[in-house]
Amino acid sequence: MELDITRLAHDAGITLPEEYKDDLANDLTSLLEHMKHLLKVDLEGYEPTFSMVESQQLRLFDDVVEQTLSSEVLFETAPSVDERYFKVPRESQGS
Amino acid sequence: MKLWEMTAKEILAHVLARDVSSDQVLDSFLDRISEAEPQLNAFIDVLEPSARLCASRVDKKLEKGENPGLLAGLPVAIKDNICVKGAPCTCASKMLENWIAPYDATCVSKLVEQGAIIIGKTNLDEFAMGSSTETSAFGITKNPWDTERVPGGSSGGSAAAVSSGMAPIALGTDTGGSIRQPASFTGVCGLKPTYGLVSRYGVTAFASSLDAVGPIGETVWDCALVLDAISGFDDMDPTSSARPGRSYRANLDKEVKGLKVGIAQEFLEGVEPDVLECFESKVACLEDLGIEVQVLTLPSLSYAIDIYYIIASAEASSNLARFDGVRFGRRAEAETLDELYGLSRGTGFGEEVIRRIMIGTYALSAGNKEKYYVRAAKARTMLIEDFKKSFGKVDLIISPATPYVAFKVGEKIEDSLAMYTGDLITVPVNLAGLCALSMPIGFSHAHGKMLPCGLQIIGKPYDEHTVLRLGYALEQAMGDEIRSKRVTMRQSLKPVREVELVD
Repeated sequence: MELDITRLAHDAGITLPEEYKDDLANDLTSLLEHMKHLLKVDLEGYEPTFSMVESQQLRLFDDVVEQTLSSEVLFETAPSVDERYFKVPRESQGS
Repeated sequence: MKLWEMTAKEILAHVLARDVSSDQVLDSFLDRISEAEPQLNAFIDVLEPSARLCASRVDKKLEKGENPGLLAGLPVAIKDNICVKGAPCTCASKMLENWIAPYDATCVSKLVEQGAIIIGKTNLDEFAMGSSTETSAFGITKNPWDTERVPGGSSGGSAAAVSSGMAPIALGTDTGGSIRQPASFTGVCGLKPTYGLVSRYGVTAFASSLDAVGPIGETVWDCALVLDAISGFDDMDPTSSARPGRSYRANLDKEVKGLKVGIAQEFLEGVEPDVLECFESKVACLEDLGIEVQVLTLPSLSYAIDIYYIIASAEASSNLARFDGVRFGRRAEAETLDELYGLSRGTGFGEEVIRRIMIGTYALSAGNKEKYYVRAAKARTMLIEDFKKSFGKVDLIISPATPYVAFKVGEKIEDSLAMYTGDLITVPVNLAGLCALSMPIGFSHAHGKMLPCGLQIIGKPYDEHTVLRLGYALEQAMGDEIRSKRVTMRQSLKPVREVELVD
């Protein structure tokens, strides 16, 4: 199976360090090969399990305002802020 | 006996009897940390100033005759993917190396309310992804039984801290065995509670349908004590269970005679002979206790590793998307926003975390989602139904906790597949939302060293009582062998002497 590691890294939002590329490509290929085992099993009639939360226990919160962490506290842990905004570079090099 | 050599139950008795103060308990453990930590690297941070404040608060309560709480004066080590307000929460990653938690995780605030002293933050595999604590950005944690070997992972720091006497109890997290496997490798007890029994608010998410927080302690009683303190519904975590709480210590010594226990043959395939022999000797011990042992088959277990690594990686790729250098964490120098995301993630995450994110991204990508992710989710249902059928016949299922004893540092780190397949015995419990205890049952001598072997006791959802009851009964039946060997091991962890300079 062909695996485009650069494309996959782009999709994952990761600029891949050069030194990882070959190892990762080999590892992912062998892991996906191992997973072929699962592709052969007959799963007819089984619904997928995406969550382990007991559906009956989910409940709506009361519609009341509660004190949570202040935005000031959260901004303190950010790498770069401008008053009440997270500061980031321009989206593009354009004006 | 020094305070740091005692179990949590023994320390608690001394504190409540006012034989010793919380401050003295803390001193004893801090001394032990200065002695053993240089050889083990179990802690990322030791929180001495805040621990001293907490200890004096507990002592004041005791002086005034107020209720000091279930865990009065007990030092607790916290895995460093769980938030402790004002302390770094690194997840053993460069991505978060300077991030200070602005709030306490609910499990931490519950411990503190019950008089526990948070003594430090322990090392782990980066973002809890690994089985050896070798992927930490803060160095490898060593196994106290043999410092050339790993302590297991990902909660390797917590397990090594308890095993070596640097903390009487610790918290870990378990997504695919990360409490049970290191507990087994280091000869202590570790409990993976039922999904939802313990709040995960303030715990860094890895795989949200699998993650659980649980205790690591020297004894089954010590684990039950911590579970009493941390379990229960939390408004801040909608996935936590609203079931009414019960004391997990109350019925520990209740009769186990007549319990039905199953052994799934699939769990025994590929287990090292010494580990298997140790397991079989304890099966005989259970039969002596009047327990009916049956052989079971769970055919879908052969798919568990594939199901786990698809689902856990898919959920991780989504959960870790938040680490992009904008709101918190490491930020790389970049000219554009896209570069900032990619470089911050590429330089902040280590190779194993990147590997898992890439697997997850692949499994969720257009054209692959049905083939991998949805298929794994269907196979997960098949596995859950297999367990349901088995629990129709038996009360509990037992297995070795791991297929082998602690391996050498570097032995498996270059072979991801070998590392992943070692998790076969533990991952099914998380996939099926069950609870399980890992407890020490003996030793292997196959590798020229005495290394602990563990037993896994698996229970139905919310049946921690029966799991702990069987563990407690077996622990009582085994006597003092494990403890006396642990005492000897701890004595061998002498401080590294400074080189004396000769004129």
